[in-house]
Formats: sequence, C-alpha cells, structure tokens
Amino acid sequence: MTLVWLVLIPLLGGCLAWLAARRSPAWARWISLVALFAELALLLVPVTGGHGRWLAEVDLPWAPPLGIRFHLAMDGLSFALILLTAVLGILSVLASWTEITEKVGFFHFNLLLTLTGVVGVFLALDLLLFFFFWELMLIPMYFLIVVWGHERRVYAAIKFFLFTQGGGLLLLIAILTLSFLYFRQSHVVTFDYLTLLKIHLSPGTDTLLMLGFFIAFAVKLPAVPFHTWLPDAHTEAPTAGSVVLAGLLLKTGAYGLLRFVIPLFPDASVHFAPFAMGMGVAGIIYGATLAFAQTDLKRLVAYSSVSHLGFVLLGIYAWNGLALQGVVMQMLAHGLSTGALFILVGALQERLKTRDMGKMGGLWTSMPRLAAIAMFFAVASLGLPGLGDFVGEFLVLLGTYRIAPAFAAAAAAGLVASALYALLLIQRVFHGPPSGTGGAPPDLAPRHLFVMGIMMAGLVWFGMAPQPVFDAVAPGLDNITAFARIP
Amino acid sequence: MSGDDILAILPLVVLGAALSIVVLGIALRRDHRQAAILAAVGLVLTFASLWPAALAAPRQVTPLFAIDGYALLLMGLIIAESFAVLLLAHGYLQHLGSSADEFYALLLLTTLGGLALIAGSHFVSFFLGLETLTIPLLGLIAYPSDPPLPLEAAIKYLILAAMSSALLLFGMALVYSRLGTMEFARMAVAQAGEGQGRDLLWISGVALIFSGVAFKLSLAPFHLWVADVYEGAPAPVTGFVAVVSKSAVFALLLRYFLAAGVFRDPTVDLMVGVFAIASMLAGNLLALLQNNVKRLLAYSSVAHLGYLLVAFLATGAAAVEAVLYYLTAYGVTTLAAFGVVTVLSTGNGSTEIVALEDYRGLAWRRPWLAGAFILSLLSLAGLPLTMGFFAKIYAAAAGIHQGAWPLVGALVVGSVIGLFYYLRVIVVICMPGTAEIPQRAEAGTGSVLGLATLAGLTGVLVWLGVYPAPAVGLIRGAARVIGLP
Amino acid sequence: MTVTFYLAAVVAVAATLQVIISANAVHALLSLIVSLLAVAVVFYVLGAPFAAALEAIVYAGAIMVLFAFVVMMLNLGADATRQERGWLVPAIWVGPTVLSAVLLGELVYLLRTGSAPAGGAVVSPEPVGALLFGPYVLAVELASMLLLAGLIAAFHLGRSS
Repeated sequence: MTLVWLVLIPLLGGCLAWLAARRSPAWARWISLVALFAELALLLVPVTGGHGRWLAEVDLPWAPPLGIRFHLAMDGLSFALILLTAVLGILSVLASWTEITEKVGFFHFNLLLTLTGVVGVFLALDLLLFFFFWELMLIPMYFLIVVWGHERRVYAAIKFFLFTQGGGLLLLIAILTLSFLYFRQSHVVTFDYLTLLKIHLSPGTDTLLMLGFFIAFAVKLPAVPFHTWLPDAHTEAPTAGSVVLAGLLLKTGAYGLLRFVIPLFPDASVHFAPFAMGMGVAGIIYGATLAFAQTDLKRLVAYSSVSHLGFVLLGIYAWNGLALQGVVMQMLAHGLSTGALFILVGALQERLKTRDMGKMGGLWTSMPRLAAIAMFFAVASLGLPGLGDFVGEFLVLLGTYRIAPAFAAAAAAGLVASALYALLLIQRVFHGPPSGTGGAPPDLAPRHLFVMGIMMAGLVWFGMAPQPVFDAVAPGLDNITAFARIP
Repeated sequence: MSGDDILAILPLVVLGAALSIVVLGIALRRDHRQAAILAAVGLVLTFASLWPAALAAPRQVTPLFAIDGYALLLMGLIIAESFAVLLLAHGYLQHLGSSADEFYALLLLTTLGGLALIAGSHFVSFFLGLETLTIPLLGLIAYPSDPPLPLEAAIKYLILAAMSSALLLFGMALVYSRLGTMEFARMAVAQAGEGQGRDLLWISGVALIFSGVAFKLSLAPFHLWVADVYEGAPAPVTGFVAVVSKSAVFALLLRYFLAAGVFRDPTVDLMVGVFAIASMLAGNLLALLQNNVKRLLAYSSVAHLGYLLVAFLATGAAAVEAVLYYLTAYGVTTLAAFGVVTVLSTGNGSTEIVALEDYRGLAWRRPWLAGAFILSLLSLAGLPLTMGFFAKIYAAAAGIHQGAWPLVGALVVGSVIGLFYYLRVIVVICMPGTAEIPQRAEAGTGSVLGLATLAGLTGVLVWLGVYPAPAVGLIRGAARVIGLP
Repeated sequence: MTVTFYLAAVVAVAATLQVIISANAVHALLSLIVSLLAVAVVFYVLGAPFAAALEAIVYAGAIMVLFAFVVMMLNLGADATRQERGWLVPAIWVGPTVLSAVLLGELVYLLRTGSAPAGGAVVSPEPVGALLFGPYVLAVELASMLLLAGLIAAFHLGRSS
C-alpha cells in the first residue's frame, strides 16, 4: 500500500493546499511542502511487500471488464526517479515561495497534481494505467504555463499540449493494438506489462508498434526533430514549471523508452538503434549550437536540455549496461543541474525583470553569491569532472564508443559546444561592465541558498561517489536488460 | 396483448399516463411549478418502472417493440438525461411565468418518442418514434418565441426533419420492396444466405435510411443545420437535442443494423466509414472557427458522432458495449457543458451567455462553475479523470479491433485538432483579465436546482472517469442480453 | 395498369412542384389539393381504395378546406377583393384544372373498366382495421401521442406569436 500512498499524498496535498489557500496563501505553501516531505519520508522507510526484482508492488482491480488493473510496482530505477521527483518538488515549492503571488492555492494544486502524474508514470505497470498518468500530468502542467507563465504563454502552452498529446494518442493506439494482438494469441484481455512482455510479434508489426511508443516518448524526451515545443514551453513557464518540466517531465520520456520500448520490442529496437543514436547525436550537437546562439537566458538553458537529453537517447540505444548506468546518472544529474539553473534564472528575472542577456552584465559585484552558484551549475552542466553530469556523460560516451565510435566522437564534439555556451552565459551575465539598471538588486536569500546547497551537494555526491546510486538502480536496470537481452 | 406484454412496455405506459396527467393539470390550472413537479414525478416513476419491466424482459411485444437489456439500459439513460434537462430548464424558464408549463408536456412527449425509438424493432415504430421525438422538439426549440433566433432555429429544424423523414421513408420503401417485411428480425431471415437480398435496390434503401438518420445525428455532410439550431434553441433544449435525441436515434440505428443483419456488407461498411471520417474531420475543423460556445459545442458534437460511428462499426456485442459507454459518457459530458451555459444564462431574461468573450476570467469569478465547464471540456477532449478518457479508449479499441486504420488515423487527427479548440476555451476561461468583463456576463446566477444538477453531472463525470467499473459492468450485462438473432 | 399509376404519379409530382414555386398562398393551396387528389388516385391504382377515400375526404377535403379558409380570412377588405380579382386570370387556374381533368379521366377509365390493381390484391378496410387494432395497436397509440405533440406545439407557438 506504500505505493498507493506515494501516488495519493501529492494528490491529497494538492487538494488540501487549494482549499487552505482561502485562509492564507502561506497555508498552501506549507501544506505542499509538508506533503512533499511526507512523500520523501515515505520513500525512505524500508519498502517491503515486493517479490523478485520489485522493491514493492501493489495490484488491485480497477476496471476488471476491460482488463485494466491498478498495478503499481517500484524497482531501483523508479525509486531513484521518484526520489528525484520529491526533491525537485520540494525545491520548486521553495523556489516559487515569493515568485507566485496570484492564485497561490490553485498553483500548488496544479504543481502537486503534475507530481502525482509523474510519480504514477514512474510506478505504473499496467499500460493503460501508465497512459492515464501520462495524460494526467499534462493538464496541470498546461495550467501552470497558461496561468502563471510569461509573455507568450498561451502559444507555448497550446504548442506543448498539442505536441505531447499528439504523441500520446499514438501511444494509446499502440497500446491498444498491442493488447489486441495479445488477445488474439491468448484470448486474455489485459494491459499488464509483465504479461504483455511474453507476446510474440511478427517483425513488421513489431517495428510499427515500437515506433508508436517511440514517437510518444521521443516527443517528451525531446529528441530532435520533435523538440520544438520545448524551448517555448520552458521559456514561458514559471520557474517551478520549468524545473518540473526539465527535471521530471522530460525524464518520463526517457523512463518510457527504458521501461517499455526496449523490453517490449527488443528486436525492433536493435534494428532501430542506429537511427535513434543518430537522433541522439543530432540532439546533442543541435541543442548545444542553438543554446550558444540564444540571448534569452531561459531559452539558453532550455536548448542545453535538448543537448543533455540527447546523451540520454544515445545511451539508451547504445545497448549496453555501462551506457545505461550513464543514462540513469545523466537523468538524475540533469534534473538537479538544469533545475538549479532554472531557479537561478527565475531569481534573476524576479530581480531584474528581464531574461535578456544583453541587458545584464557585471552582476558578480552586486550578487556574488548568486554568481558563484551559477558558475558552479554552469560548469556542472558543461561536464566538469567531479560533478554528476560528467559521470553520466562519460559513461554514455564510453558505452557508445564500444558500439559506434563515430557516434561517440560526434557526441564528444557536442561537449565542446556545451563548454562554449556555459562559459558564455557566465561571461555575459556576470562579468563585464555593469549594465546600469539602477540600484543593486539584492543577492540570494537564505531560502534560496538552502535550496542551492542541497542541489550542489547532490551533484558533488553523484560526481565523487556515484557507486551507491549505481548499486541502488542496478536491480532495476537488470529488469530491463534481462528482457531486452542487453549485454 | 397479455399481461406480460403490458409489464414489458410499462415504462412507455407510465410515461404516457404521466404525460396525460401533466396535460390535464395544465388544463385545470396554468402553473409553472405544478407542471414541473408533475413532470418530474412522472419521469421518476417511469425510471422506477424499468425494474418491473426488467422482470418481463427480454420480450418481443407485438412486432413493434423489443424490450431487452439494451433497451432498458438506454431507456434508463435517456430518462435520467431528460430529468437533468428538466431540472436545468426549470430555473431557466422562470422568466416566462405561467406560460412555461407546456414545456414539460412537450419534454415528456419527446422523451416518449425516444423510448419508443430505443425499443423499436420495426420500421413503423422506427418512423413513428422518430416523429414523436421530432415534433415536440420543434416546440421546445422555439419555446421562448419572442426573440427571433429560436423561431429561426425551429424552422430550420423543421425543414431538415421533413427532409430526413422523406429520405427515411423512401429508404424504408425500397428495403420493404426488396425484402417484403418491415420487421428487423425477419429482414435478417430474408437475407440469411450469403449475398441473398443484397442487391442495388437494398443498398440504395439502406443508404437512404442511413442518410435520413444522419440528418438527425448531424453527421457530416448532413451537419449544416446543427450550429444554427444549437445556437438558436434555449440552452437546456440544446442539451436535449445534442444528447437525448441523438442517443435515441443512434440506439435505434444500431439495433436496426444488428438485428436486421445490415452489417457485414462491404458497401455499407464503406459508406458508414466515409460518414465517420467526414464527421470527425469536418466537425473538428469547423469547430476551430467558432467564437460562440454553443456553435463550438455543436461542431464538436458532429466530431463526437463520428467517433461514435467508429465504435458502431465494431459490430456485434463489442459495438453494443462501446456505443453504450460512449453514449453515456457523451451524454453526461455534453449535458454538463450545456448545464454551465444554462446556469450562466439563468436569470438573464432571454439573452444567453454564449460568446466566448463572456467566459473570459470565469475561473476567477465563478471557480466552481468554471471547474465544471473545464472538466466537461476535458472529457470531450478525452483526457483522464473524466468519463471521456475511457470513451476515447473504447472508440479507439473498436477501430483497432476491426483493423480499420483509416478510421483510427482520422480519430487521432480529429482528436488533436479537437484538443486545440477545447484548450482555446479553457485558456479564455483561465485568463486573469477581470477588468473588461461584459456586464451581462455577471448577471446569470443560476437556480438552486440547476446548480445541484450541474454538480451531480460533474460528480458522475469524475467518479466514472476515475472508477469506471460499475458503469462498464452494467453495460456489459446489457450488451449480453440484447435480443440478437 | 402501370400506365395509370405513372400518369397519376407524374400529376402528383407536377402539382407538388407547383405548390413549392407558387408565390401566392392560395394558389399553392390549390395545387396542393390537386397533388393530394393525385396521391389518392395512386392509392386506388395500387389496390387500396380505403386509403384513397381517406386521402380524398380527410386531406383534400377537410384539412385543405380548413387551410383555405384560414388563409383567405387573413387578407380581408376591399383592397384584398380587388387584388384577388386580378389573381383569377386563366393563367392561374388552367394548370390545376388540366391536372384535375387528367385525374378525373383516369378515375372514370378505371371505374368503367374495373381493371385489376397494379400492386396485386385489393386491400379492403376490414384487414386494415384488424391490423391497426391487432399487432399495430401500439402504433395507433403512438400516433395519437404524435398528434397530441403537434397540437401542444402548435398551440404554444400560435399563442405567443
């Protein structure tokens, strides 16, 4: 039942926060914070009740005539990602403490409902339940962008929704077809992941269904050329929205590829791997190059996400255990470093009322703490050894090199570009002559420092001693590699 | 007719009796409240009479009516939907004073036509049921006849209803001339053999019947009336036209196709498929252009009937189950959407709040009302936490089971386009702008009954969207006992 | 006998077209009566003399006369009389008269020859009644509800406008 509570706590917390906001906005913030800490605490109590590879499992009937079950299970991979969800959730609540002043209750309701969907996606083992949560996280995210976003929020929100929903419908069709084909083989109506893994598919069908799943996840990831919604959505979303989008929603795409595409369609995936790796490399180089050309700070960070997620796609299809470890590490580290960068940009925008790098400069003198922290995350993002991102990218490159040296070389070239944009960001914003925007803006408050401290500690931990993370996710990765026969 | 026959058609008898009492009540004393109460009690008693009728089911009562699980379930559905329309309309009609009472007589009459259609198993009950459904509806559409819009809508509906009746009758005549019977079950027997009785004459007849019905269901390309009629009719009646009348007609169409063995003919399948694709695409594309909420919902209903045809084509028990679930979800959702329009327009005289601009910032002025509207729009878009989510799954699954990939493709494309305009409305509702709200948008306060109905509809929408098992179980039971040959 | 059927059918269609294109309500009514009479002849030719009689008595007779009264009562006064005199030119009444004459000729021919109906057996009133009050009794009930609906709707709309 722990798993059910993992899903219910953010949901109930969100409803409570909404209702309590009538008394005072502070109530909504505190309730959200308490709910997310409860989620974190629930994760850390020793989980029991699972069998085999699963740390915990719950399987209840939901719509029995349709063969849909409320089947949740957690393995190491889900555990790590839900941990990231809880941490980033707490950080986004803290980051929007002063930024959000309008309709605070509804904001927290939407934020926590998004997190409910994300947690559900990481736990669901029934394909329709997965789809349910997959769609569920879109709606509140849409509201977050459309109500609290910046100038072009309506355009960005609708674009985001249409892209992801279009992918989602392909996913639905693929899921229904898969279940129907299984029904023809065994005369059992089911959407259960573990059961459907046993299906036998002919090579052609295999590829078509795989593409249905792949496109849905690639849109979310996002992989070039399905990425065009991302810069808009990230740029226009409020800080917490950007953090959740970049830190968590993108990870659901990667998780979907790992959990569903690879194990369900191993043969088709092997054949498709070169194309997917090509898309990954294209994403790495394209994202880094475009990040380099941006003047809007948030857009820059958004394009850097495209680049980082390219490594994830590359690693997943490199088809070996080493690269998969790198993928998980890259997902966790990217969640922290990009989340932190978005929070910093949000803090800058709150102070300077602009995101245009042309209007910034010389901020190091007025905001030394913010500048130093930004420097830390910028170099983390460019892959400085000793921090989490480096471990992830290095392992992915190493794993890829064994299979496809050319792809590895091209991806490594992307790293150079990422160094360029990260350093450029620091130089333009924090160095040079001050751009005289009036009185010196205040530096980071202790609340922000606390948030940043947690994230920096996390990145250093991932960078210096990643082994505990690998140990924790190893059984989860075994789940995947076993089905997909990955060496 | 034996006692068991009377027992089986008890819902029709009870509703007919209730209707007579309402009419007599109006004759004795013209009073809005009295007529509403009598009609409401009548609908409740009719609903209650479904249980005694179930004791006698399944049963063929004269050649005209087949009372089976399918009929009883759908009867329950449309009686409940009529009841919701009645409650919504009560507050809405207050400003008409005592001349609002005939509304309830007409409402019961058109519901009676719907019940007759749902149980119909013969061309005679098909046609008479359809007319009994349509004629009172004309009166309902034009009910507040002082503004010109309702009258115009009623005239358009009248002309198209006559047109569709003519097509229907011609089609029935052709089928009768070919098969020599008007009973669905005997038609199936008459063409039991492979390809027997399926010549050009028969296909023309079926095509004409389908076209006549397509007018009523507002399937593209016979959808031209739908936006004007939806716009002109009073909001609760629009809900009725969109939900009850279409559900009843669709139910009969499915029974005719199943019981008379019209399915399994490639030409017919192709024809229905073309209608489905045209409706999904045309409805969604036209809805994109609308700035009037009722017109937008009108074109969205065209698209939804297209999705429904995808489920329809699944054939057999699967089609029955999918269609029943879709009709339920569509009915609850659409009534909730028109319920919001009704509540906003209640107490506003004869002006309705339908311009998209009037909904700007509704989420911050009337959060609960806006919540209900957003949920119903999300349900129409087929997103989770609402009934529409499972309805969409049913439709898509039906398409996949037939391997009808063009239909599934149109469903996906249509859904994505649909999402765009539903989101557009949601954006307007959530716009923070509160300064330049039109004054008239503030006036509608809604009646207690209307708000309670809306709350109930939204509750069902979410409850069955999160936990659909009870509805699915009930529907599966009904689908199993449909009296199929 | 097929020829008589088609002749009457053509008359019905022609008269109905005339109804639709007439600009004047009374002229339209005139053609409508012809159209209904033609349909009555069609019924007769098809072997349904009872339906033919009903069509002539109820529709062409009672209902149309009511219609004509109502329409004529709407334009009263000296102006209307003068105006109406202008309408009674041969161009108006020749068409319906010719069509009616065709129908009359057909009817006389049919009665004189006493030929068999085109649609097989002759259906007398008795089996019709037996069917209506036997298996189709519910259809009769439903039709009565339909009439009630028309009555209420017409009453409401007529009163308020």
